Amino acid sequence: MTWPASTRVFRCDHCGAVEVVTRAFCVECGGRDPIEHLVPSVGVCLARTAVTGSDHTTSVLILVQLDDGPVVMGRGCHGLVAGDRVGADETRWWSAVS
Amino acid sequence: MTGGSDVWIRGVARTPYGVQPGTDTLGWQVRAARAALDDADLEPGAVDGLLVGYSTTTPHLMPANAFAERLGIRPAIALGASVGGATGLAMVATASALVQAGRARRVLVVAGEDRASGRSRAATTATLADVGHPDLEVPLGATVPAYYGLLASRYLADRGLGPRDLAALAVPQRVHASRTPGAQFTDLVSEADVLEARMIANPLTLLQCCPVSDGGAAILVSAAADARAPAIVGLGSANRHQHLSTLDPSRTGAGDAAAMALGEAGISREEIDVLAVYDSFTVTLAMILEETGFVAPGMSGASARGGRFGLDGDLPLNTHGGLMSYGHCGVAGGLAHLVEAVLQLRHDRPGHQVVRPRYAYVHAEGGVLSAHVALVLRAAT
Repeated sequence: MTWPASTRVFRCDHCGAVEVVTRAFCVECGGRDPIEHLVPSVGVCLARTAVTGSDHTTSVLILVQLDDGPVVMGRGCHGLVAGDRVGADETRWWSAVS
Repeated sequence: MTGGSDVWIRGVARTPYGVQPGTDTLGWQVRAARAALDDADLEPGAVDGLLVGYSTTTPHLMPANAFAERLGIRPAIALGASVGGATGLAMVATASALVQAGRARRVLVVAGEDRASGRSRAATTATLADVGHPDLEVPLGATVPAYYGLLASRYLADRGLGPRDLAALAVPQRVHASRTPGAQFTDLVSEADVLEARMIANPLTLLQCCPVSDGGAAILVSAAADARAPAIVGLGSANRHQHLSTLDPSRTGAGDAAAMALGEAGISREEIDVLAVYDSFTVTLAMILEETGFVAPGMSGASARGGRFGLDGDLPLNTHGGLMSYGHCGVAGGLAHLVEAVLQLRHDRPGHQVVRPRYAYVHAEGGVLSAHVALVLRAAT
């Protein structure tokens, strides 16, 4: 298994905008059919919360700004805080990049 | 309609909110609608337009038609609506447009549901979580409190603030609720109480989250004024994203909606005497207040602590207690803010009245700050 894994993003051929959601038209410039790319799952942790599920286990959720631009949500290690450099494996599990 | 208006709010009603089993969705909607028609001094048959918000406990393909039959009216126009927490104000904005266009003269806007008692807490949590992205967010176990917990974490990190700066926002709302008949939570709380309450989605504690409630609210939008009816003088809205992953925290749309509504009213923020802003969580309130320009960036908590949001402050805010303290029964939750603004502008809040208010600003959002609707109201006198 390679680490960090890749994240699927969509890049507009016309203006270069990169997004994590698929759209029929680029919301920035109106360009048609942004194209799927894979980018490294590496970036900076922007936000972190912890929630306890109905099974009483606590999970940490984070927002990560990928080095390639878009923001993605993921689950990760308990010690993460906003500002950490982080990377994810193929299960979208994020941990600190040493 | 810059400055002037040809649309008025003739009648308003909100029931008590809370855990009140025994009444279903249509029951709450009928109860609120009857009270709003009484407030407007109108017979039900005078209603020629009807807008009804969705209910999570009783999903229906045709919410307005089902309600019309139950109430006993045959309006020419009937439409159900679904824009999350912004639904109530979006319906009032639509009612206003119908009246302005001459398509209807008396439009009834109705909301209500038994969100606390009609289903299990787990079922409601799952329904609400579906505002998240079905592939990128929901499978991670994210819930609505988690989405807002992430927003809160980012808000505090970006501004160099600490948890108490959000906790402070819950305190004055409880003071307002303690002076409002029908509020769900009326015991006063301190900033320490808010910080020490059970953690729901770090940094948001229980007292920084709205409850789920049973209740209803209704508004009568009219082409004819009376001696006390406030006028709708400004409308604004914005829809810039659906999911947290595509939200731009520097421009969620709150500021766009506010600028449009204030511009249409032809007034400045300084002329607003009553503020009523959607407050599903403390961070919701902070982000909207700051993006709309009513509060400087990062100063929401300090403003709450400094008394700006009290009845005697320069920005009386959610003087009924808001979603966090008056309660939140879905679409009616966001409409209670509008009811409060109308009551304040009519001088109908004995014992908790803002002194001679002229303009009110009302703002609601749906989803994760995804849909925004803003209204400016002007008092009749």
